[in-house]
Amino acid sequence: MIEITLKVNGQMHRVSVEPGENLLRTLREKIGTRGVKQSCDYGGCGACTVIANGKTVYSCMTLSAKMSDAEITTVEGLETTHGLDPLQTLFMEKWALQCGFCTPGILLSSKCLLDSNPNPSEGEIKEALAGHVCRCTGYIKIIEAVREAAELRSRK
Amino acid sequence: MPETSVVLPVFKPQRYVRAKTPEEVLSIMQTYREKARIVGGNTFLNELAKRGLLSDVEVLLDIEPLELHHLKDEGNRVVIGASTKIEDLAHSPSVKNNAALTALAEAAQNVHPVQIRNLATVGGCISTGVPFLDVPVALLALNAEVRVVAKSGEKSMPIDRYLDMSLTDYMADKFVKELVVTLPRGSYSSCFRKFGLTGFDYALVNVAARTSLDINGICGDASIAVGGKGVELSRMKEAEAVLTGKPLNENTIGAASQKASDTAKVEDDIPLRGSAEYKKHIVKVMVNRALAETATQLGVKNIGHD
Ligand SMILES: Cc1cc2nc3c(=O)[nH]c(=O)nc-3n(C[C@H](O)[C@H](O)[C@H](O)COP(=O)(O)OP(=O)(O)OC[C@H]3O[C@@H](n4cnc5c(N)ncnc54)[C@H](O)[C@@H]3O)c2cc1C
Ligand code: FES
Ligand code: FES
Repeated sequence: MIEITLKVNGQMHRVSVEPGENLLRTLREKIGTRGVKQSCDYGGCGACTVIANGKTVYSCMTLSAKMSDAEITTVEGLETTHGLDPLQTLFMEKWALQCGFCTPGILLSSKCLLDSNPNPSEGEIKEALAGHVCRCTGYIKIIEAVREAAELRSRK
Repeated sequence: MPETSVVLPVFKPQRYVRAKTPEEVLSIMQTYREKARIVGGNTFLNELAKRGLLSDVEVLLDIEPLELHHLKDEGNRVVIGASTKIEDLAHSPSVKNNAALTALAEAAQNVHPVQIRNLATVGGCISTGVPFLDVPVALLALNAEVRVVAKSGEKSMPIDRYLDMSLTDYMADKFVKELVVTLPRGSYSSCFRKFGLTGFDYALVNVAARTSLDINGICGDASIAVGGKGVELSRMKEAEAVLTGKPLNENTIGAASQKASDTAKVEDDIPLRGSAEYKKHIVKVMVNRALAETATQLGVKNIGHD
């Protein structure tokens, strides 16, 4: 086992991981952030997406041992003392989710996009979300919600 | 029908070594051979592991402490460390804003999705042993050199040799330290084009091309590389010869594309996504598009393509 330190949603955690363990398992089973979803387990769906040091990655193929000292954001970290992130509220209002299984990953990719590109074009939104599969919404509502979140941010 | 489930051999390495020196990497690789694997972004290894192909691996070798994340613009060449992420290569101003190197940035931008570009490394992407990845094709067309660390010291080798070795062998005696792409003198333009079943697919065919034009409008130097699913990853030397010493126009580019199609080695294989005839057609179209784009960039007017 290898001892690593992870800062998850602002909190420090010291955990022991196996050499071949992936971040998905560490986060779900050892840190308890169950918002990180497992589906395909090989890079085909995006449900396991988290933000690691400011960049989106698939946690199902990220080696935990390699992530020592990384800062991780999962969907649980989007909510602040002021309440839900506007992206979360807009996803609900705009019907950008139905079953919700894909939603944590898509929210994190959307957040990462808006943090680096506050006014993305539709093409840029599609590119940022291309690594996600949603079996319910048909994607249009998701793109609309991200657009609207960008507009809301620019009005603030 | 009852469901049949296949139990795959599990991936359960026992050691994780953060190698502090190149010597440590080599010594572990020589002791454990196939049972030790260097991990870059783990995006390819993960795929092998989950298919049950890495059950005998005992040691994972993390080369992060060697700090090979550099992407240095040295004026006449660009030096790219093995641990550089594909995403950083895609957006590096030294690469994307230099016409002779654009193909490399375009190839990196064509690795989808961003979650993979954020993990995958340059060293990993040239060491997978598969012929259909995007960045290796561009490196081939740009005559990159691979600087490897071996027991006898550091050595440079042409990218085509390294790729050939990684396609056929497990290399226990060396690992990639960095890639060096030297800038040619003169007026050059380069371009990468990918054809997949969707915009986010692996390439059925990918092409990188680089051409030069002198003041008399003659192409002094042309390089064309192709790869893909069931397409041999290689330079198209005969097609290049069609262009060298000639003007770049619709006729010469058409003839070079035809030659690339005639000489490309393709497999007639439906699991690899299509007949040989189909793939050869796509090679012709994509080489044509890539060459037409480089010619247009070099100021040649009225170049159309199919
Ligand atoms: C969902 C998904 C989508 C993808 N889409 C694309 C795409 O659109 N286009 C594309 O081109 N590719 C695509 N890929 C493939 C991806 O480009 C490769 O998996 C990646 O480049 C491998 O790099 P890595 O750093 O993750 O390598 P790893 O998986 O870490 O390693 C790969 C191999 O290289 C060896 N290695 C690593 N570093 C070194 C080194 N320094 N010296 C010697 N050997 C080394 C490892 O031991 C291993 O054998 C995709 C992959 C996935 C999972
Ligand atoms: S679970 Fe990671 S991409 Fe599907
Ligand atoms: S909301 Fe059900 S998969 Fe996207």
